[in-house]
Amino acid sequence: MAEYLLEVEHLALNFYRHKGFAGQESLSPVVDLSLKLMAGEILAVVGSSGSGKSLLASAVLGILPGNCREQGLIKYRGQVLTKILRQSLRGSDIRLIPQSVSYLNPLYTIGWQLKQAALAAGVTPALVRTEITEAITRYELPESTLKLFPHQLSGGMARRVLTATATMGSPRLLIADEPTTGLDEDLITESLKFLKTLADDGCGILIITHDLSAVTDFADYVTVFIDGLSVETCQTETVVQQGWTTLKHPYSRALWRSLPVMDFWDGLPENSGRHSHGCPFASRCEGCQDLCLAHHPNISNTNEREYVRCHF
Amino acid sequence: MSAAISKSLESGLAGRQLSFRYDRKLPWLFRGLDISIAPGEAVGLTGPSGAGKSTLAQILAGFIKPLSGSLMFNDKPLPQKGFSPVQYIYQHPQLAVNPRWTGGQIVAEAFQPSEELLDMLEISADWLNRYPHELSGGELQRMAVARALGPETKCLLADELSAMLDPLTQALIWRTLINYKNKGLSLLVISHDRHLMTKVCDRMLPLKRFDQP
Repeated sequence: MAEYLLEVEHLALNFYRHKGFAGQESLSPVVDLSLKLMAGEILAVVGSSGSGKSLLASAVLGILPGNCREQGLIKYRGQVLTKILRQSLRGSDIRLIPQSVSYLNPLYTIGWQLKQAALAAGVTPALVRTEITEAITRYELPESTLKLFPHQLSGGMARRVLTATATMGSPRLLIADEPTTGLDEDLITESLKFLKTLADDGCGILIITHDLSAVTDFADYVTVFIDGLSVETCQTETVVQQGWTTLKHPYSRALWRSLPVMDFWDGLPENSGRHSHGCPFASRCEGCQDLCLAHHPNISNTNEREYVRCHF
Repeated sequence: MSAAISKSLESGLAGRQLSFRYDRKLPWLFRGLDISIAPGEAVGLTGPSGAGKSTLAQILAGFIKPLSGSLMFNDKPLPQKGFSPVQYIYQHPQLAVNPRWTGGQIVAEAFQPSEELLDMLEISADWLNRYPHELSGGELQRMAVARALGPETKCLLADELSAMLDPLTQALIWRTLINYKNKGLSLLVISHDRHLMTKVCDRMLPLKRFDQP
């Protein structure tokens, strides 16, 4: 059996916080996430907002806050990722393109931040200069950007700077959290093409995104999340060739159908308001039965990579 | 007020001969630009990254003063104090909320949104007890939309409003906004999604990059 670059099995995250004098309450934004990624592959993770996509990225990098408890297993190249291992791998082997532009330090110039990223990536000090020049030309950033502070950049420029910091040197696993928001179409294609070349060089890429249309052109597999549950993994090729109706989970189908290029709000599923302890999509699903409201469906595999989590 | 402007009496938001650049050494973002949005109209602002789309929207919101030109709402300048009829929604909601406030405090900053509005945007009650860092980008953005849709809001400047949202939530928010638009709300839409723009906008205004200094 081939070795996976990244394997996440039944990951669950609980956040604890104080309540009252000695009480505690917990929040479980991530219930059960599973995914697999091979080197040289692009896996897209799509799903509703708040479904735990960005938390998954933080978990793999080990940058979750202290009040979070983790269950399940994360493996990197067959090895279980421990806290110490995550610490030593992030920034060198495993990189993140963060979602929010607030990840840039507002007190330092872009040039300084790119330099730190290059050094953390293991670029030798003598080569830092060329590496930075290469990175900014790749993202069509003018040389003058290096002297600017984060607040002086437009949204799209800040995104490109973040991408540049993460792709210095040669990462093995790149987690791109919404790498395309706020960019115009040419730049989206351009930066996704660059991610594709990274993947062709053997880097595994996890793209967390809402931009389904971009995903289908570049990703090999797509995993769909809803409210902290991974409900489906499928090959993008089948979706591209045969359309969204081939998707197995009703939520994945609704997601594709609501794209502006498809039916947009005409196909929006109505919320029945029924409270569900089981499938998170149950209250909006047309085929919802009592079973869906009561129990979480288990994963049923179509093959080694593809699965769906639905009772029907 | 110049004679040319006082002659044309119009309702809605109107910017006349707007010019702006961030520094004398930097090129103009736009010069002598005219823009008007009538009540119940949705105008799409398109252009490459860095062309000044967000800057123009912030000028229209009254956040930035243009170097020249005038900005009128229903033939009066925007109020300097109190609730502005022109509301701007940021591309990054994380930067537009007080990190020490709970969701409930954030949505009620200007007015108490109705249950109906919160339902329409599918904002669930338990988010209101959380702090911004405990909410996802899409959840925060929906709160920012609810906060801006007050009864006195006449014009909404949506700057990449739904870029952080999944397609289902995006469709949900736009259905809500188009509902408000049909009741007379003006919309300025900034987005890179061509398909979204053609679905929600009545007309487009392309913004080009001025490259000469």
